[in-house]
This record gives sequence, C-alpha cells and structure tokens, in this order.
Amino acid sequence: MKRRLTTVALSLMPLTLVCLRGSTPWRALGRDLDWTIAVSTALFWPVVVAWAIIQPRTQRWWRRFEDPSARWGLVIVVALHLVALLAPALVTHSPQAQGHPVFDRYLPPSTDHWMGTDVLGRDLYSRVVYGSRVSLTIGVISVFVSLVLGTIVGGIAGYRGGWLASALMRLTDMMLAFPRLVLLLLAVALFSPSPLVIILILGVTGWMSLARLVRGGVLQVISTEYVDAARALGLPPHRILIRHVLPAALLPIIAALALRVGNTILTESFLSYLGLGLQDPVVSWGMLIRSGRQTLLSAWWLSTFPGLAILLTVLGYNLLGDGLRDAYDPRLRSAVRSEA
Amino acid sequence: MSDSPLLRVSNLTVALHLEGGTSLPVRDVSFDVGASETVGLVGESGCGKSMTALSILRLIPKPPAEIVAGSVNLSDVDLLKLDSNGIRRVRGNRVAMIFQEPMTSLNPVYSCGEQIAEVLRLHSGLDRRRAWARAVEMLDRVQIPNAAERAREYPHQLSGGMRQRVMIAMAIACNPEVLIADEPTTALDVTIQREILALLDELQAQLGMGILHITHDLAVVSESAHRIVVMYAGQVVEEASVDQLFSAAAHPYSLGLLASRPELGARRSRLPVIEGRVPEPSQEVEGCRFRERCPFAVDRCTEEPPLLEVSNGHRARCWEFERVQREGEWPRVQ
Repeated sequence: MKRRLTTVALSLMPLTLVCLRGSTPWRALGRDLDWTIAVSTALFWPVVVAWAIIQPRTQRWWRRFEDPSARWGLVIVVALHLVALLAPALVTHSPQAQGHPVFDRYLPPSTDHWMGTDVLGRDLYSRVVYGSRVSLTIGVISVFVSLVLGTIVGGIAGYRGGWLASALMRLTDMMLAFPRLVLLLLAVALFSPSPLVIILILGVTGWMSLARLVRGGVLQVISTEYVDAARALGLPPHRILIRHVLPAALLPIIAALALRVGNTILTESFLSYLGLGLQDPVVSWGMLIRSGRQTLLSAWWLSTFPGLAILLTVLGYNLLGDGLRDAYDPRLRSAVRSEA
Repeated sequence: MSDSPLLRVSNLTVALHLEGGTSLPVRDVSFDVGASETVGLVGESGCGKSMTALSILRLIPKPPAEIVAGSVNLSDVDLLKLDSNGIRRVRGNRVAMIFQEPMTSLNPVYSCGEQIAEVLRLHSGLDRRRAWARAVEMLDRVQIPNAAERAREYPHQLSGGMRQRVMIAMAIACNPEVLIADEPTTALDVTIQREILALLDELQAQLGMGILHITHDLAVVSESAHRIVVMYAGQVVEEASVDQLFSAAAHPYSLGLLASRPELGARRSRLPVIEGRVPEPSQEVEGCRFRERCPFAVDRCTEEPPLLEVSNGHRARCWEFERVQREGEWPRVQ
C-alpha cells in the first residue's frame, strides 16, 4: 500500500510542478498553462500510474524495464513528455517572436538559433519544443480515446456475446471498410480543425482495430480455466474482470497502443502537411515540416529537425511498446533470457 | 457418515437448453458428504459428474444450463437459494474447488503466492502482508519445499504436481468445510497422483473437511474415499461404502466398471468391456437408462427403477440387484 501511494505521488509530481507558481521558471510554466498541456499531463501520468497499479504486486515496477529496448523506449518517451511539460523553461526564444525581416530570415543552425530560423525569423528550436506539446498531446490522447472506445466495444462484444456482440462487431467492420483518410478528410471539412477536433477525429476513426484486439483478448481469457478457478474461489465479477481478464486481454494491446501513438502523430503530421490539420498560431511538427517544404534545398533545417523529432517520438514509443509486451509475458521473458 | 451431513445434495436436476432442444445432463441426483468424509463420485465422461459438482457452487454457465430442481444444503443453508453475493461468500471460503488441469487453472501472470493471497484477502480480510505470510504458510502446508521462495515463482516455473499443490493451497486457504476435487489427479502421472491423494487425506485429517472427489478412475477413489456414488447417464445408479461396492456391487454398471479395471499380474489377455454407448442426455430412454447395455436386463427394466435399498447405506438403481450381487461377475464377451 505504501509503495502504491509512493508511485501515485511520484507520478503526480509533474502536475503539481505545473501548478506551482512563483520562482522564475515555474512562473513561465504557470502562464502557459493552457488546456492542451493540462489534459496532456492529466492523462499521460494517470495512465502510467494505472499501469503500475494493475500490474502484479510481487514484481517491482522497474523490473519491467530491464529489457534494453523497453528501458530506452521509456527514457525517450519520458524525456519527450518532460520536454513538452517544461517547454517554457527550455526554449531560448518565444516560439512566436518574429526576428528582423531581413537579417533573421532563414538563418542556419547556430549557437544562438540551435535549429536555425524560418521565413519570419522565428526560432525553430523553440517552435519544435512547443510543437512537442501539441503533437504528443494529440498522439497520446487520441490513442486514449481510441482505447476507451475500443475497450468498451471489444469488451462488451467479448464478455456479453450474443446479438449485441454481432451488432458491435459488424459496426467495427463497417468502420474498418471505410478508408481512414477519407473519413479524416470528411471530418476535417465538416469541423474547423482545432486541436480538440483533431484529437476526437483521430480517436474516433482509430478504435476499430483496438476493439478487435480487445475482443479477441477477452474471448481468449474468459475461456481459460484460471478464470473458472477464480469464479470458483468466489471472486466477484468486477475483480475477475479487472485483475484476471483485462490485464491479460489488454496485454496484446500494449504494443499496439505504443505503435499507435507513433502512428497517430504521423497521421496528424500528414494532415497538417496537407494543410488540412492545425492552423497557424498552433504549432505542430507536421505544420513545421510543411512550412519547410518549399525551401527544402536552400533551408534544409526547417523540415529536417521537426522530422527528426517525429522520428525520435515514433522510435521511443515503438521501443517502449515492444519492451513492455515482452515484460508483461513472463513466459516470453524467460525465453528471451535463456537465449541470451 | 455423521447424522447431520455437512453437504446434502438432494434431487438435483440440471437442464441444458441447446439449439437441438432441452436435455437433462443431471437427473434427480442426491447424496451427502459428511465432515471428515471423502465421497467418491464416479462415472464415465459425460455422465454428469462434473456438471453436478459445478452445480453445487452454481458455476455452470447460466444461459445454456439451468438448475431446474433440487437443493444443495450446506449445514442448513440452501446454496441454490442464495443471492449472487451470498454464493460468492461461500465459494472458496466454505466450499472450495480444485480442477483437473493444474497447468491452466493458475493465472500465468501472477505469482503463486499472489494468487493464494488474493483469496485470503478477499474472504479473510487480511491485509497484503499478512495474506502473503499466510500464503507462504499454506504452501508450506501442502508440502512445497522452500515455500517462501516458491511463493514468488510463476506457475510456468513449477511442475504439474507442484501446481496442483498450489491449487490445493488456494482451495484450503480459508479452511473450507467442503472441498470439491474435480479429477484432481487425472492430469498427473501415477507417482505424483499418489502423493497428491496422500496430501488430501492428510489435510482432511488436520482440517476435518468433507471431500467430494470426482473421478472416472475407481482405483483412485478406492483408497481415499469412504463412500462411492456411481453415476450413469445423469443418474446416481449406486451408492455404497467402498467395501460394499468392491465386494458386492449391486448395479450392473458398477460391476462393469469394476470388471474393466486392469489388474496387475492378472492373466487376462483382454479386459471386459461394457458394450454400447451412453445414451445422449437428450435421448429419452424408457425405463432403466442402462438397459440397452445391460447383460442382466429383464422385461421389467422397461419400467424405471428407483434407488432401492440393498443393505444399510447401500442403494442401487436396479430391479435385479440381488441377481447381480449373486452372480457378481461381468459376463465375458465372446
């Protein structure tokens, strides 16, 4: 119990930091506390905590990250989220401040402008750092929306069965049959693209494969004898569902989720790149790549650095996903260990 | 064998509603299990013995299967009349169950100690640390060496016999009054079987619990059980003490079962078989359900026999039980 509380407290620390105002760097944080970062931190850390709580108690949580790929994935992902969280303290310029219209345009990377400047003389490094907030938030939260929808649909379909399951799975098939891009374009055309709209659109068009995975997992787990045994030992249904069915049923999803975060960030960038995503005062990595498109040969840094940021994020989430999947399956783990 | 039995199953009837129609896999089954008593429930696959066991704790899958009649009394509580919370407090606490497959009955992602501790925390309200300590104690009690270390291991790291011991530890963790063991040794090899049976006997002596031991293997129950209930096609066909059954079986089916056991050192080249097949639960048979396979059958068998009193504590569902006992041997097949 004590350890669980510690985990919760530690995980919530960044949130409390955000709310701290007073000393100079934190004042900047407090001022920039907009809904994106609030939601991003409010959601990212509780998910981490939930993971820590659901997992079996006998293992220390860091044992999950013994595997190098999981450890590096975790390091990258946590580092990126910290960058997003602490953006105001990390930037060297304001992301919107324009430089001199002649002398500050298209400056190559230097000690003053670490990643160079753009057409309006704005500091690219600061913009990439701020862009992480939007891109990560969109990636994480829209996958979270997909996960919630997918778990509800897949969980009900798997646990209840019957006509309801058939109806839900046919709905899933229907949604899958639509090309996602067409749905995205349609939705973007209907609603003006704000970050919230983009998150919802990406979330609502991305739950189908997760629903299938959850359903498959639930079906597989509820037919196992240890679920029968748990019932015979008198565990109440919600406890069976939470402790015995969902952890095992969501297991194959962990890797998919992490992959999905990377994928979603790519999709958002793609939308922004097409000019259908977020619009100017909001900064996302996709937009930054788009803005550097025409000058790719003369000012290579404009598209390259945001591109590298996306690469790093996707890499981090993929490593984390793979590593966690291995860590959550004791059999797989000992197999890997005996090979080594 | 006490006067007021711990567990009394009376007239239990289970219906199975399938697309082809409704069938009755368990028909009017009654038996008692007393404190410190082991009752063997014997029968071939599909005779309804597991269904009976699951019905006691109301674990049968509800949409297709349904308990349509009877009662299951634990002391003076009818388990079939409890609400879902009530029955949950009985499961694992007052009546525990162990299953056939120790390989798959443990959750692979939790350590053994964790799984035992979970039951203790649920029913005994122990906190995490005490539950863990007690879990280690239970592992020690089922004679697992280095219990403290083993508790931290995952099921896949243990052998089949060890896992069955862990299952038993989970089952007896809350000192149940009755233990239902559904083919607890079937998946194990013979030497381990003996160890597990000896362990169950020992635990029974310590805890005084009643054991309902379900098996298709007469040899297994012959050593540990006090009384044997033989089931055939959903019905109890004979109920007797072990001695009564082995020396003077009164139902032809029991006789057939006894005859088809291999005997060490016997010179028979072929074992006798009971010809024919068990009637499907959905199939209505007029009269005795064993009639078509029975070498003792007479005209009267078209009329269904009740459980007839053979002697004290010995009952058989056969009109001709006297002749069966007199001849006492299953006819050889030509």
